[in-house]
Amino acid sequence: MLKRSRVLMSFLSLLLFATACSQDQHILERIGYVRTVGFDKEEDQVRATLSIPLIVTEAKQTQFTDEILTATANSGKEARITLSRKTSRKLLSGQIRTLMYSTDIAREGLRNFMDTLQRDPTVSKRTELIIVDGSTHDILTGTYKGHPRTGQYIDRLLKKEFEMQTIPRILLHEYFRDYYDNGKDPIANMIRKSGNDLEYDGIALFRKDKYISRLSPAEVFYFSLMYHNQGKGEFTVTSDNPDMRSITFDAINSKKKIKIKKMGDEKYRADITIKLNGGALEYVGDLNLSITEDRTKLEGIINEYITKQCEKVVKKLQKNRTDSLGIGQYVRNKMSYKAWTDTSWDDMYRNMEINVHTNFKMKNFGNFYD
Amino acid sequence: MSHEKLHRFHIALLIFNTQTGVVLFILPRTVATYFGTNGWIALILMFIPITLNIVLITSVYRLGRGASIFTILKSGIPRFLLIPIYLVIGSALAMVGCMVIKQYVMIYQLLIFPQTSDIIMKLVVDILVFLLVTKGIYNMSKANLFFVFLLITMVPLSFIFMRDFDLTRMSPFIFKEGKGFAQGSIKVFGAYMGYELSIFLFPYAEKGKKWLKYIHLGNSLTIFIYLMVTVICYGFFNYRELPHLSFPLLDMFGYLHFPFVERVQNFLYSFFLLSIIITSGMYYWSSQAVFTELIPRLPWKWVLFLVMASTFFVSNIPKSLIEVEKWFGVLIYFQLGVAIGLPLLALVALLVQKGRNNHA
Amino acid sequence: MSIFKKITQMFSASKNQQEQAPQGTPQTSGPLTLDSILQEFKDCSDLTRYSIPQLEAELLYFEHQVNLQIYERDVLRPLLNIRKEELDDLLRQSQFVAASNPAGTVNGILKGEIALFIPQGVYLIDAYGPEKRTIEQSQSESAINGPHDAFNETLDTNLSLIRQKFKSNRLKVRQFQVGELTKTKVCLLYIDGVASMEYVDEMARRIEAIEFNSLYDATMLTQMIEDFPNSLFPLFQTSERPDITISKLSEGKIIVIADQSPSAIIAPSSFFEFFTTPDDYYNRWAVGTALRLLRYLAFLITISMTSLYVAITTYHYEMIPENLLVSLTESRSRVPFPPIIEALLMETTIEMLREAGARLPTKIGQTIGIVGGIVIGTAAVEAGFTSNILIISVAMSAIASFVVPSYIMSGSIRLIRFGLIILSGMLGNFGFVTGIALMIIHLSKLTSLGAPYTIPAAPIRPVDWKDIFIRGPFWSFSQRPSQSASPNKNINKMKK
Repeated sequence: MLKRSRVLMSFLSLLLFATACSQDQHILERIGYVRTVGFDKEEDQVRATLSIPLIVTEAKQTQFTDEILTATANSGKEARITLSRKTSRKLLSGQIRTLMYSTDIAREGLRNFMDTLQRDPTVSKRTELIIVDGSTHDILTGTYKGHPRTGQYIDRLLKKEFEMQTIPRILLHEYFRDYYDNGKDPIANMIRKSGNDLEYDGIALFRKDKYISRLSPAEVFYFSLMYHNQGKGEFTVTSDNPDMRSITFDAINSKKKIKIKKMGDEKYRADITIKLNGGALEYVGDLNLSITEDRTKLEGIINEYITKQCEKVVKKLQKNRTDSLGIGQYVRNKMSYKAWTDTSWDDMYRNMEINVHTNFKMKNFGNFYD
Repeated sequence: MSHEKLHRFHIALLIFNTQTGVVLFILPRTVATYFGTNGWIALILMFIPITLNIVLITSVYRLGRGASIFTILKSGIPRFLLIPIYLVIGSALAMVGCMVIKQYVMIYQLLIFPQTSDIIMKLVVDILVFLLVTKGIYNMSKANLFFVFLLITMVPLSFIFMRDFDLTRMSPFIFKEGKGFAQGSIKVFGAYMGYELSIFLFPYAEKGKKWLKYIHLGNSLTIFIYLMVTVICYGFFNYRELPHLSFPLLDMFGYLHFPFVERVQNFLYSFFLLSIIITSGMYYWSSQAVFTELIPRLPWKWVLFLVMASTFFVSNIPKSLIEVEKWFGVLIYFQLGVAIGLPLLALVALLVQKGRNNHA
Repeated sequence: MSIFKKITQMFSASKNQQEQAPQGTPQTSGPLTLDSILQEFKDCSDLTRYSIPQLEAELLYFEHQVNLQIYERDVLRPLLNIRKEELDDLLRQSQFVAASNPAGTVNGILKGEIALFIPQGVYLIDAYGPEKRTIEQSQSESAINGPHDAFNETLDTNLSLIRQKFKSNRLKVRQFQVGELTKTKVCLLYIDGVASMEYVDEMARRIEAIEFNSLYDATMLTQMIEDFPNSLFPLFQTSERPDITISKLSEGKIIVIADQSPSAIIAPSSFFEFFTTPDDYYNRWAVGTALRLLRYLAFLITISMTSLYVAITTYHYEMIPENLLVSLTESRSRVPFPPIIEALLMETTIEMLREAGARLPTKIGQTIGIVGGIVIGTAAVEAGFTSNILIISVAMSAIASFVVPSYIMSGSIRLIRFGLIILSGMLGNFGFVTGIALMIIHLSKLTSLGAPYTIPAAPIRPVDWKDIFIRGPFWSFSQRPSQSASPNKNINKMKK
């Protein structure tokens, strides 16, 4: 028996030697792993821009740059094949971190692009999805002071924002998930070029796979409050009210709750309740924060202000018929299956009554007693 | 080697690891496709007939007083009837063992090694399985303990998904938008397959009837893992996205990331090799047991070798994953035959034997 | 063809010769006389012959085998101080044993006995006492806490070390002799009523079955009595420390010690026992537990670190996180070889360094360390020979391999590592997992003296886990490990 297993073992090793010449080797330094991809519209075709980190080591000098490749083609993968003729390395998509689409493309629907993203098992579902109002090519080819590598810059910029929870974390997975859900529409983050830097540019609102409109960076905070629970971050509220010209909070903690109430047949009302607390960091106004009554008053003003802003955002969403907050999911869960399939959620959503309630609590008023 | 008896806990884990396999990666999609909303409930529903089936198998053990299934059949049924039955069962079990590897390897090819020949990879796994099975069932069960341990360490990973889990995505509807209850039931039944092999373990198990409960334990462990994965998938993705994902579990693993490593799905999928070789090994072992009964003169390791060699050539016929799934669609009926038909046959044999004894 | 035949004939001829003249046993069966014995020891210039003419006595012995004090006290002084008539009385003393045949006499002299030839006959007096090493600390199994004494090469010393620490008449010692040329004494120790007699008999049977002409060390003996001599893993634990020996004895295991060897064989052993040290027990139990877990972690690191590096850099570039990717690519970009060659090269270098260091005296060994450190650590990276991340991984797995307390086991693990690196280099993660599966399949087949090698993990014995995977507090140890299959399971029931 022992003899036979030894024969088998040698057979096994022989076999493995045979596979050693496998074509599937992707030795790290010999491949070109694409980091950022941008798609723009060019007449009937798409222009793909790829950014590949390039590390050139000559003697003791090591250079870090991005190799930028551009091609025009009918599909993303076709562009890749064209592009691979231009580079010395095998182009692979296993390390794509960021996908960028221009609004021109997004407006026509991302469905055609999504196919390859879902089919190709090497594309990570953690890839960031970004919509650019303008040209992604310009962003990728641009030079930014202090940021020698654009791909990394974009990636880090978004990662930081996700980490701070100031913007919703939208990766490919979240996009697909909401795209397939019949009670929610997907969203994506936007960036733009501003002078010598890149800047966060709000949220792109989709209806199914089509880009409809966007929320400005100022609206994003109120949107985020309703979109997800927050465990950290800071925010500033400014108004004309002399009691509260400006106040900044940090260490905020928010909880959203969406409740659906049936108002007679075929009519539903949504109540979004936001529970929010934070510690004051800066206050410009006439009130004395050390006094309980004044604090309560200020909390009231803030509540009112946030509610107003949030409702504005909701109105905008409703006007665009983009259910980015997923109200539909909650409505669906309140209905029977038959009723849900019978109703046209799109119409119902546009005319639905959606109220926002804010419950703000000041945790502390900082290191200062007045 | 054979004088040591299988500890009941080993049996439970052996059953568990035979049941789980590649199917775990596909199950959430299957369930979502055929049952639609909240399809995971189907897993619980299917658990009931399977438990009854196990009870049927254990009743053979009780009535037969622990005798081997072959002894029971021999005592009540003429040999000329048994030969074709053994031939069919033996070949079907071997084919299942073979297809399990084939499927695993083809998915591997799809995901990671698109250029590497699946035949060579299958040969590597086949050799592993051969080495495993030739060690005998007792040592297989020991190796299985380590395999299960390595696989179970993945369970805590599921807690990471809790953050992205949302109940509202599951919807309150039950079995809506599914493509077919009957077809789905058979598929889910197929996912539970593996427990039927416990009928071949009778002479190897520890004495007494306590271990029979542990077949149920193994089966419950399977449903626990299946449910966990499926429910998390339903809340992590949603019921409309799941039918579009070939391997939802891999997509989910792909979402994980750690400071030192990310995209661990390929690595974790590789680790499922440990489950595959047990699943396949158990089927080959059972097939070998059947054939050895047929040709007792040939040493069992040679029987195993011949069985594995012949199935290896058959396994080259299906060329795509879809074909492999089709083959499974046929093989499941044979598996059902073993799961239900074989114990029933054994009960008949026992009755015949009893009648004969009373007569005499 | 004819050459082949000749060779085979040569072999068979030499075999016949051997059979005609068995090695080591005295040929003569003739009369027992001084001359015949002297003839046996022809050309043995180290044999001492001492004549006492007034008694017509002749003494034959090896001076270096004999303890001169005993010789003087028991043999020389009595013989010199008596008259011829008193000789018969003297011979009645117990140290004088009459010899009957030449073979016994020759063997006796070889064993350090003194042969006394007088007209009345031949007597053998045991005065064995050669030069021996003093009891020192163990080099290979040093400990920080606890007793520091270690076995040396003398069987009597070793037995005395054990008896000193184990004052019970239940400690039984069976003696065997192994090796036709070396005639090494081998002792089998066990505790009556605690050790399973099945194992004792099996071990005795195996020792008696050994046919080998020379035995130099107990580690060699292990390989002759193992269940699977071709396995990569050592199936019996060996130790130079009496405290380990004692604790294993009281667990119901069997100890085999051989003369001229400082190692004691512990049987049966489990794979996991190789990861325990006595220090675990001398530390607080929480610390002991942490140390044990650390060792298992080291085991995992040492077998997987470099092979995963190879698998990932060759096949699975997508698994590398973003912040590591650039630095990894950068350091790899200078290296002209594929990762597998790079890794094998570095691993081999480290192994060579280790081997060179182990053979050289400490002072030169340090030089090797410095040269190796500078050459490998800096120059290899600067020259673009290897990537620095590989250096880290190789160094880590090398360090981790030394965390495993048993040097023999650590060697096995390092060998497995090479297999895994090659497999990973060929099939990536798939190869790595294949290697792991092969290792587990192999492990689960192994038995040690018939007991499963991977106990208590498989077959599963949760009761034993508290003294294998962790080091539980002493109050929790109430049972002997199930591997020793002791008839007396409970630990605290020895008092009668």
